[in-house]
Order: sequence, then structure tokens, then C-alpha cells
Amino acid sequence: MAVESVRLSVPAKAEYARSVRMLAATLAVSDKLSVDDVEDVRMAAEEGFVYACSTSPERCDVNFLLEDESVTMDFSLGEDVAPAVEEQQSEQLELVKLLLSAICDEFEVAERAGVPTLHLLKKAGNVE
Amino acid sequence: MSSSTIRPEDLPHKVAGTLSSLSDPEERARSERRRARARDRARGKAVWDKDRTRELFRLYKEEGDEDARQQLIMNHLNLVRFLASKFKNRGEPLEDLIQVGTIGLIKAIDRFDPSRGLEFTTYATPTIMGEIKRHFRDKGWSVRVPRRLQELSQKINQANDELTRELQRSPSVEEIAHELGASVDEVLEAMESSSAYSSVPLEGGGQGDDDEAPSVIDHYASIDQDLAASDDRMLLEEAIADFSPREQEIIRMRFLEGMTQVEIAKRLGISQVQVSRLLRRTLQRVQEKIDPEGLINKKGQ
Repeated sequence: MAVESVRLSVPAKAEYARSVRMLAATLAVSDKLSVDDVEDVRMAAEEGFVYACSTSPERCDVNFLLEDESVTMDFSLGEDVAPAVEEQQSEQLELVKLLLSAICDEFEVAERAGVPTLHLLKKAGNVE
Repeated sequence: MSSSTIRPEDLPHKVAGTLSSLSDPEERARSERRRARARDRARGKAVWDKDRTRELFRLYKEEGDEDARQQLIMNHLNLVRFLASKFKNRGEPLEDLIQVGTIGLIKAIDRFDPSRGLEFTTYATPTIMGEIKRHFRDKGWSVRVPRRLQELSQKINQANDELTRELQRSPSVEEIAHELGASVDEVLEAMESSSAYSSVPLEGGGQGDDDEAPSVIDHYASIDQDLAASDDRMLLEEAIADFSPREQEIIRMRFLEGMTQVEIAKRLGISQVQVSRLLRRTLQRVQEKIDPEGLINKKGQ
């Protein structure tokens, strides 16, 4: 398929996690990913959004890039890229990072086009 | 720093709040220092004590210390719980998933080679997740998903009808989810899958009775001449054998006698809308029996 780009911009609030998650899953379906991969994309989208919200942005822009057998999700982050969080939250974030590393083929926090970004790439086929 | 030094960040929030009335650059600088210190604290106090983990692995791998192995298991159960929780609401008790995940953790501990320089948690996470996913696969979860959603989709229709009657208005998705003991996501997913299940409306191209766009029902009816003489007819008869007499009657009138919905409604003394609903549900049940995995639909895509 041709490379397709989809953008979503939502307030960085927990109640929008579902919108991000379901759009990600729907896009993964249209990208012909398997059921297991769609589940991974759904999970990565949710955890990515949770991570993005922890960096205190007002809004979170998610750029989806659909290519042959892969889905890329770039989440815009806030200023607290290394968030100042309580110990308990710190543990949660550590777990989220581990999970993202495990289910995504690419996982990176870096500046992209001048914006701190969480970059996730999921290719068809399980990362195990 | 002297213990008597009072820093704004050490004060209770209210007091610190009054200090924030200081000029913005000052407050911003303080805030930045506060964040930096918190970051340092977070880094210093890692979730897992990596040095301790390395030492435990040394004891277990080099000296065969079983206590060290037990300690490693205990120290990483929070990782198992976290990962297992990501798979809840999929029809398996969380406790079972934690058990399965713990098996994955033990496998990871036994297979981990510290000399490769990888962090254990990085190695263990995919292993634990793999074990949980394998558990679902072994139970035929992937195959069961479409059927589960189809069943849920049917229940949503029923709950929708019941709640509409009860509330005298169209219920919210949350209300339907609550009624069915399902999550909002599951309901949305089932609604989505059921609309993908028949992307053309069963009842016709438009809302009105006069709409002439061919419906799926009409399509089924139009190929009935061939159906009558084929194995499909036997399949259909078999599929509806355990339906109620009313349902069987409606299916036969529509597809074998070729009656319109209005004609069926007149004969049965019910409204055309009721006939339409009955047909839709009955057809869905027929389709689930004949093609439970939705393969026909997939081919058509």
C-alpha cells in the first residue's frame, strides 16, 4: 500500500486514551495487520499516550504512518520529557517503557522537527 | 547543605504556593531545580536494584544458589503483575494470567545469560508477554475473538431493544456495557465488527421503505431460485432446524416463497418493522451457524 498519514490531536487527558487506542487499532486493521499485531498496536497506543501525558503537554498530537506491514505512531511530548514524578509513578513509567520496548520494533524518545517526540514502530509479526 | 536551610520545595504546598507569587523567572528556575532533583531521585532509586539483581544472578548462575533464584522471582513479580494486567478483560481471570506470566518469568530467569550485558527486565518482558500470549493462543483465543464479538454484537442488539423500552430513549454505550457486564471498548469493538460484518445495510440502502437500493436481504432473496435446488437449501434447513416456529416461518416466507416484508407482516398480523428486526436477527444467527468464522465475508473483502 502507499504510505498514508493520519493525524489525531487530543487533550492530554486520560479520557482520550480510548480514542487514541481505538483509532490505532482501526488503522492497524486497515493496514492488514494480524489480530495479534492489532492487539500490540492497541496496547502500544495506550501506553504511548500514558507516557505522553506524563510529560505534561496540554495536548497530545499523534501522527500515524501506515506503510506496508507496519504502523508508526509519533506522540508529541510536553516539556517534562524526563518527568519529575513520584517514586510510584516512576515505577509505572519504567514499566511502561519496558512494555513499549517489548511490543514495538522501534521505541525512541527524541526530538523530531523540534518537538520532543515518543516514536513507536510496530511491524507485522510478533516481537518476541 | 545545612540541615537548617529551608528550601521552598521542602515546604508544604500551600506555603510554597505563596512563594510562587515571586517573579516568574525566579519561580521557573526554582521549579526547574525541583524537577531536576526529583529526576535525580527517580534515577537513583531505580525500580529494580540493578546491582542487587546482578549479584543475585551471579549467585544463582555461578553457585547454584536457589534462594537467589527465589529472590529474583519475588523481586520481579511486580513486572509480571503489570504485564498480566494489560491482558485482563479478555475472558481470563487476572490471577491465572499472573500465574502464566510467573512461569514466563521463571523461564526468563533460568535462560538469562548475564554475561551478554542485557538488563534482565529488558530480556524478561517479551518472554513474560510471550508466555501470556501463548496461553491465549493455546486456548484458541485468536480464533474465538470474532465469534465472541459476534455473540456480543447480538447481545448488544437485545440490550439495546430492552433498554430502549425501559428508558424510553436510546441508551448510551456505557449503559449497554453496564447491562452486559462488558467494557465500553468491547461494546464499541463489537459494534464496529458487526458493521464490518455486513458493510451494506441488511435492510436496504436507505432508511425509508420506498428506498429502492438493493439490500443484502433482497440479494439473498434474488438468488433463491438457485438456492432451491442446491445443497445450500439443505444447509439452510439444517441451520434453522432449532429456531422457533415463528422464525422458521418467516425465513421460509421470505426466502422460499419470496414474500416481501410487508406481505409477511400482513400475514402474521405484525408490523413491517417487527418483520424486519426478526429477519435481521434470524439471518445473523443463520450466518453464524453456516459461517461462524466470517470466512465468506473475509473473502468478499
